[in-house]
Amino acid sequence: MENSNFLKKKLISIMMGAFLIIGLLSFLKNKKSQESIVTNVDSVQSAASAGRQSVKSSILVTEPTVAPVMLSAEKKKWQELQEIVQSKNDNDPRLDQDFKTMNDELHDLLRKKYSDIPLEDRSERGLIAFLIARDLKNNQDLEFLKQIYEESPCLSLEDCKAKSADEPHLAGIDQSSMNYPQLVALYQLEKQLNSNAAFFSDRKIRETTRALLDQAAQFPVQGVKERAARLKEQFRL
Amino acid sequence: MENVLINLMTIKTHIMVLADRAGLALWDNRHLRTVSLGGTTMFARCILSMTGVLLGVSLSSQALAVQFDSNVPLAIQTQMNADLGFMNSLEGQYKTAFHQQIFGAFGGNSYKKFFESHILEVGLDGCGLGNAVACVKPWAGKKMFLTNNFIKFSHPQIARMMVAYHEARHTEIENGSWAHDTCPTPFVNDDGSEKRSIWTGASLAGEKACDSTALGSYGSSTILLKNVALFCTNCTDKVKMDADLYATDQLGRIDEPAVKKAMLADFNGKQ
Repeated sequence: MENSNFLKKKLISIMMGAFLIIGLLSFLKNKKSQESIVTNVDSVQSAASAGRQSVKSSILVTEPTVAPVMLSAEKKKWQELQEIVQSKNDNDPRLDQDFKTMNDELHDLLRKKYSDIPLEDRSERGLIAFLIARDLKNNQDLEFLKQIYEESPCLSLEDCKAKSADEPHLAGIDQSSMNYPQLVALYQLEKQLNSNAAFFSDRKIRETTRALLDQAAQFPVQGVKERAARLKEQFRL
Repeated sequence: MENVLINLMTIKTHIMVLADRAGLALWDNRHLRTVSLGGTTMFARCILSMTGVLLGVSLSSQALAVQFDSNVPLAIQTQMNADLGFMNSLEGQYKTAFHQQIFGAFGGNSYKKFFESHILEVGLDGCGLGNAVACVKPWAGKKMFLTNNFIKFSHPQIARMMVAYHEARHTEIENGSWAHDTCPTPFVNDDGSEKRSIWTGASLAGEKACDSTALGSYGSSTILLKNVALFCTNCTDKVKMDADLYATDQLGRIDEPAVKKAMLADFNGKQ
């Protein structure tokens, strides 16, 4: 009996000791992993920033340079959008729940913010083009989309102002991404033209849409040009 | 060692999320310190660590089905896991016949099974070319290599996954790795103009950058994305739009008119 108690006590002591050692090791390793992870992230960020601005300069991290007075609801939506972009999760349901119908203040902010985003952040620029084009409200939105086709084409994902070597295997995907804002705007515009006839019945709106498509039809990328020309013909614009 | 550290970090994140959800601010972000536990701090830390290890192992066993080499930066691992998680979450009731043939039913389970049956490991490599995002190598078996461009270049999420599934298809040694076909000369668009690279003007004619089958890497990734665009029931408008945009581009690499026609017909049917 006494022997059994002794064994129990010994077992408990060993278990306690094991807990203590594991806890200590976990604590120490965690400290090291923090350092290691910081180093890894730094190295990736430095690679990412070579030749172009760091992602930190994008819509995600910077506060609006033009800081309109935002009501709390818009501020919340703006923060939400930053979170979504930062997560790189294009399937965040909030994109449809909270950004399908936006108020004028948010439209204004997005239009202004677009030009602050580095040229190479094609997906972010495209996201803003998508949100505006999906929720066309007025002539200003159409003018904004027209300006997207006044941009110089992005020549490479590394640096929009310099061509890079062409690799035929998956170059199509690169080229779609390079033209992403321009493609997205036309894609959504087509949806709107198909579904929102009342909006386009206004004479001024129709004129601006025509000017937008004329501009897009001159964009020096075949896929964009062709799509714009097809829309002009299809909708007699 | 780095993998152990990464796993510990993942475990800690799981615990913090759970603690946060439970309204327990047990640990701060920087030092894994117990807070307000008084004299029992060390003992409680041990218990929490043990619980954490067990919980973390169980939670991370699903997310980390693909094994990363130790030199793959954490940011790339995190993005790849998030992107695969996105694919694994897709839901839909219908699919096309080609989709059924290649992937089975529409949905995350099928995409997870497909990817994990093709890719067991992920390494880091330059993949030979400056712009590459990912590649596979014939001698490397079921291993995919990602480049720093995977997180550096600004591609939409579905486009990153299109590349990953395209490359995964190339690991099928039993099917000759679905080696690409040489694009015909001349290689023309529907309007008769020659297909050329947008920027360099280089012709695709004569390049190993086409497929003459719907089942190869270009075809299968096109079919995957078209099905997402058509049938995904829990995708955002953006994901469905992106899937359609990128699939349309890849369809252009099918150089056999009858195959292209069959694919277009496939996209108009559902089962």
